[in-house]
Amino acid sequence: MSPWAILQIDASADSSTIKRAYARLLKLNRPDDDPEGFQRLHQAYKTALSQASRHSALSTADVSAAVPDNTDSTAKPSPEHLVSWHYAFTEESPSLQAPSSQQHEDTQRQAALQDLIEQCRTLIHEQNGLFNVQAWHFLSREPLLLDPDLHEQLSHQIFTLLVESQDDSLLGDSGLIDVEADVVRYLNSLLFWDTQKWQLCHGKPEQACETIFSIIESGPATSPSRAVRGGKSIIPEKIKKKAKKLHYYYFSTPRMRGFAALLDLFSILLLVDAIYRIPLLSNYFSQPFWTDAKIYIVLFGYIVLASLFEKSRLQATPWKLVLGLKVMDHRFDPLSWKKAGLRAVCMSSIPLVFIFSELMMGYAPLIVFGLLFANGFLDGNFIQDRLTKTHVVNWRLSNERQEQR
Amino acid sequence: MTIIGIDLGTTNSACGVWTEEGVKLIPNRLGDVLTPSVVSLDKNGEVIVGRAARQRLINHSDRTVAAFKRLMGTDHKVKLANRAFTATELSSLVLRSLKEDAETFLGEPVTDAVISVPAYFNDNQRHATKLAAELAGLKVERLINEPTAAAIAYGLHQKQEGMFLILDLGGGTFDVSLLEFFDGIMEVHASAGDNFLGGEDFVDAMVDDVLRQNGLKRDQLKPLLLQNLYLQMEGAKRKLGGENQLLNLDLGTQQVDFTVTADWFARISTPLLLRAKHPIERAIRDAGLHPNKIDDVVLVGGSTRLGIFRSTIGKMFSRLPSCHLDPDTVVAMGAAIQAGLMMRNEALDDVVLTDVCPYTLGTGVLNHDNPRQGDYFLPIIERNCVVPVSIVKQVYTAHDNQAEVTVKVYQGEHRLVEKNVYLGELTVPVPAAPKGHEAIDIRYSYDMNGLLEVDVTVISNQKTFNHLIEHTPGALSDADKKKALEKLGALKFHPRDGEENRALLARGERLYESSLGERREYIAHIIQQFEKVLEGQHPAEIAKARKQVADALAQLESEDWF
Repeated sequence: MSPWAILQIDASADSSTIKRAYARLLKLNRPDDDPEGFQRLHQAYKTALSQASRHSALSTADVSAAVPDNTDSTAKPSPEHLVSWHYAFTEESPSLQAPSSQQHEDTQRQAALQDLIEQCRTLIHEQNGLFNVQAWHFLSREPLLLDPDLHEQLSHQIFTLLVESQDDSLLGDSGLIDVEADVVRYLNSLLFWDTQKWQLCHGKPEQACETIFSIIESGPATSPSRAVRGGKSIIPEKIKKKAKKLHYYYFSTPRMRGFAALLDLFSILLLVDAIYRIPLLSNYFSQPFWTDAKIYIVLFGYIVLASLFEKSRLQATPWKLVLGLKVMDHRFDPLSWKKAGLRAVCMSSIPLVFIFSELMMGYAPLIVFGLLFANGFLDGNFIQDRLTKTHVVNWRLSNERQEQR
Repeated sequence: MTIIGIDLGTTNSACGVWTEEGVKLIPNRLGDVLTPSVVSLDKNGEVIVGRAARQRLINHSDRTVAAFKRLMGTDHKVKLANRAFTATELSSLVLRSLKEDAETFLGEPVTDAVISVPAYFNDNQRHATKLAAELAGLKVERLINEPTAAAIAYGLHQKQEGMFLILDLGGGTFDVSLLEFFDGIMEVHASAGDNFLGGEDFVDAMVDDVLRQNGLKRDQLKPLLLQNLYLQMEGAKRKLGGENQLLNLDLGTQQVDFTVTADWFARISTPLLLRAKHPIERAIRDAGLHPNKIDDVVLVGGSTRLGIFRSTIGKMFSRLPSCHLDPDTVVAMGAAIQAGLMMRNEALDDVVLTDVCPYTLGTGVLNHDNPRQGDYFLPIIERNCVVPVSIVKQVYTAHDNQAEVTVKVYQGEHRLVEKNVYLGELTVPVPAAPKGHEAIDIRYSYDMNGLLEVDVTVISNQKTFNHLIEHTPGALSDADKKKALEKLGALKFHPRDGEENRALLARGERLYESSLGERREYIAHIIQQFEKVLEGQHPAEIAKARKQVADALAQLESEDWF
C-alpha cells in the first residue's frame, strides 16, 4: 500500500494536508490500541512528508534557486547550517544573516579563537599557567565555549599546547610530567578531553598523552551516590566480580590431573594421620579399626574437600591451583552448588565400589582401574566431567597462549 | 475510578488529577502543592515525608535522606538509623505519602497513577520506578517522560501550534525534547538528556569549591556542618542575581566569611552549563531540523530559574526562552492530563500523544576482527524511533555445534557493548549444526511506558523464549517483592494531624542549632512553650499557638541568612 493510500489522500497533497490527514487517522487509531497499525501510519506519514518536501523544493527551485524552503519543517538542514547556529556574541537572528555577513562573522570568530589560543600559549610558557589553576578561570567566562565548532577547535588546540609544553620539559623517561593535576582536571571539565581521547592523542608523543589522561582518570570519580544528602551511610552496590573469560581454553591433560589428584590425596592422608596422632583420638579408636577406616576417610574427605574447594573462588583444589588448573562449567563460568555436588557424587562411585566390593565378587579393583584407565583416553574430559558437563581447564596455559596471540 | 498524575522528582514531588474543570493539583497535608522528596525516620521508627522531613536534614541527618532519585535502578542502599533502604523503597514511601494525600483530597481510594520519569531514564530506572509504585500500592497506568508531560501541559494551556524545544532542568536530571503540535497531535521528534545534571549538582559544585578554597575534604566535615553548608549554599543559589551575599560559614575548625558573587557562581557552573549543550545539540541533530524552525524554547523544572542557565540558553538560540507556567508543577500537571487521557475523558478526546525511545537498544555480536576488544554492539531499536515499536533482527551461530546462544541486552550508543549499559540476558538452546546454519530471531518491543520486552525465536524449531534470566540491578524477584512489601508495610507513617506541628518543631530545632547565646535561649523558650501546649491536646489552642510560633520563627529567620 502506498503511503498516500494509507493516509487516504491524493499523492499530490502538500505537507499541511498530509499533517491533517495523519492527525485525523491517528485520533481514530490510537498508538496504545494498535501499535502495528500506528507504526504503519507513522511510516506512511513520514514518507509522504519527505516526498512532499522534495517535491516542493524542486518546484521552488525553478522559481528561485537561492531561496531555501522555510515553510516545511521536515526538510533536512544542510551541514553548513548546523555548524553556525550558535551565536554567542551576536544579538541578530542567524536566519536573517546574509551569506556575506556570515562569512565576516566566521572570520571574526576565528580571529577571536586565535587570540584566545595565543593568550593560553603565553599563560603556559611565560606565566606559570601549568601550576596555577586560578590563572585559567578566565576561560569559563569565554563565550566561545558555547559554540560547538569553536569549542572543539579550542579543546584540541589547548591540548596540543599542553602536550608541547611537556615535550620540552619531560624529565628523561621517568614519565613524570610538569603540570599541576588541578590544572589538567579543570581544563578537562571545560574542554571535555576525556570524551575524545583517541582524536586528541593521535600523532602526539604517547607518553605525555598517557600521563595527562591518567591524571584525568585518577580524578575523583563521580558516583551516583555523591549527590545523595543525609543518611547515616550509603551502602554501595555489591559489584559482582565477573570471572575473567578467555577466547580459547585448553583442557588439562589426564597426566596433570592425575598428578594433582594424587598429591591432594597424599596431603589429606598426612592430615588425617596428623589428626589421629592427637592423643585423645588415638586412645578412642583401636588401631585395627583405624587402618581399615583410613582409606575411606581419606577418599571421602578428598571428595568433600575437593568439591568445596572447586566451588570456592579458587575454582581448584590446592594442588590443582599449584599446577595452574581450574574447574569450570560448560560455559566456562565458576561451578554452581549443584554442579559441584554432582561432581562429588560421581567421584564417590570409586570408594563406593570398594565398600560394596563383596557384591562385585572381587572385581572391585579391576572396575576401578578400568574406569581410571578409560579416563586416560577421553581427551582430558573424564567420565565425571562428561556426566556433569564440567571441565578441568589448564588455566595457566590458556592464559599464556592468549597473551601471546 | 480516578487515575492521578504524579511527578516524582529529585527535590520535590507533586501530584494532580484531571477534573471537569481541567487540571487540579492536589495539596498535601500541610496545604502545599509541592512535597519535598525527603524521607526521615523518627526515634520511634515512624516515617516522616515532605517538609517536616526536610527540616530534619540538619539535626537528624543520619535519619534523613534527600535526593535519592539518583540511586534509582542501582543496588546502592541508604542507611537511616539502623535500617537500610534502596532508592526504590524510599521512593515508594514518598509515593505512599502522595497517595494518601490524594485519597484525602478526592475522598476515595486511589489505586492507579501515571508517573513521570526523566526522558533519559534507562530501562532499569524505569522498572525501579514502576516497582516503587507497586510497593506503595499504586498500579502504574503509564510512565510518561517528564519533558513530554510538560509539553502536554503547555500544549493544552496555550493551544498554539508549532515546533517546541522543551528543556527540563530538574533537581537531578536534564532532559531535552523536541515536539511538534498540530491538530491536537503532540508529536515528540527527538529526546536526549543527561541523568547526572541538575540543580543539586550546582549546589554540589558550590560546596566543593568552598571546601577546596579552605583546604578541606568532604569527609573532614561533620555531617551536621556539611548539611548546614549545603543549606546555606542552596539558599545562596536561590538568592543569586541580586547583590553579593556575605555568608558566615562554620567549617568546624574555622569560621569563614565567604562572599557569594554572581561571577564566582558563573565560574563554577560553567562546566555544568557546557554539559547541557550536548543533549540539546543531539536532539536537534537527530530530529534533522534547523534550529530556526523552532518556534519556542520552553523552560521546565525548578532549576531553570537560575539566571545563568536562562542567559546561556538565550545566547545559544538568540532569543528569550519562555516560561509561562510554574516550572515546579508543570510536569505534575502534564502527568495529570495524561491520566485524564488514560481515563478517556471526553474533554481530551481529540488529543493524541506520540513519543520516542530516547536511546538505542541492541545486543552484542561476535567481533571477529579483534576479539580482545570485546563484542560489537548490534543496534536493534535505534534512538528517537517513534514508540510503541517492535523490531526483529536475525543472528546466526558463530561456532560449529554450538549448543546455546546467549542474547545480552544493552542500551547505549557505543560501537562496543562494553561501553553501553547492560540490561539483562537470555540464553536459548539451539540444535547442533555447523556454524552459521542455525539462526535466531531477536525481537525487541518497546512500549509507550518506555519498557523493553525481548523475545527470542529459534528459527529451525520455532521455539520462543522471553524470560530474562540475569537479575538487573535494583530488580526484585516475586519473593523479594513480597518481603519488601512486608518491610515497608510495617513502617508506620506519622499521624497526619501531628505533621504540621512536627514540621514547626523541627524548624525551631534547626534554628536553635544555628543560633547562639540569647537568641538560642529565646528559641528554646518558644519550643518549650509550644510543647506544653501540645501536651494539653486542645485543638483550638494548638492552632493558636502554632500560628504564634510560626510567626516568631519567621521573624527570626528573616533576620538570619536563611
